[in-house]
Amino acid sequence: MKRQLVYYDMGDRGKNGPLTELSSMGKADNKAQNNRRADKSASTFDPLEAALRKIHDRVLSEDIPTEFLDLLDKLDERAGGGKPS
Amino acid sequence: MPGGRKPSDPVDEFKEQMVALIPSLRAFARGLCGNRDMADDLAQEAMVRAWAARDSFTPGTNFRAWMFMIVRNQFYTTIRKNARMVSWDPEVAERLLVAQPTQHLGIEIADVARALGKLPPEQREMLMLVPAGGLSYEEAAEITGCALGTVKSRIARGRAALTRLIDGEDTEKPESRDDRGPARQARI
Repeated sequence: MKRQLVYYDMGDRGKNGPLTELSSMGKADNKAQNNRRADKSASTFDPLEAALRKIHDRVLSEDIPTEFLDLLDKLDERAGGGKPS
Repeated sequence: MPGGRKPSDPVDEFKEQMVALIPSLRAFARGLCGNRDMADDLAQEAMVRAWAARDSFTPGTNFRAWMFMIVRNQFYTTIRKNARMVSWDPEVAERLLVAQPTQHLGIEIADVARALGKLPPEQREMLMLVPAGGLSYEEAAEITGCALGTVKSRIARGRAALTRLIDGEDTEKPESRDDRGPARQARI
């Protein structure tokens, strides 16, 4: 049997400008996005969009591999530790 | 920022912004190439480039958009040299199938992940930026160097193509030639 996807109007998603200020990136960034999604999900539910979010959020929830932090340390060392001399 | 400490200088501030953005960079890179290891390489390479070009970033402007532009440019540079980058890891969909209870969505995430891997990169990136990543159309336009109308049309085409693929109709229409690929390079 062929599955039927039901779509809803995406409303104002994507029209409200950047979701966060630069100073509140990372966890706060994710929180703001989640809050906005919660507001939206109260009025409409789009299964395709929900699936895309899950694919995206699954990566967000992963632990950051140590290589990334090692890389930042190396870059910082190259820049003289980032401290004024 | 741990303990609410304020960065002591612009380099520290730049570094802290980059650290905070790592999960999103990884997610966007994963969405672009669909392979965990390649995506992490892509994100790290973009971080190295961004660090080298940090003096060209204007504080107070959109750091996330600037970093995503670098990731994106790095992605398109890489796939020009290595077509394997656009081959989504088939294990990704299988892992999602096992890991995600998705009955309540009325759609299998693994099906969406498989279908996503078959989309043209320019549609996939828009879907990862706006519906998946929660960015605004304006921010997606800034990152990709596209007009707002192009952002919206690529999202609409991407959604339609995903639906066709999930329904088992592998008959997507390619975009016109001048509507493909990166329209702008990050200023680094």
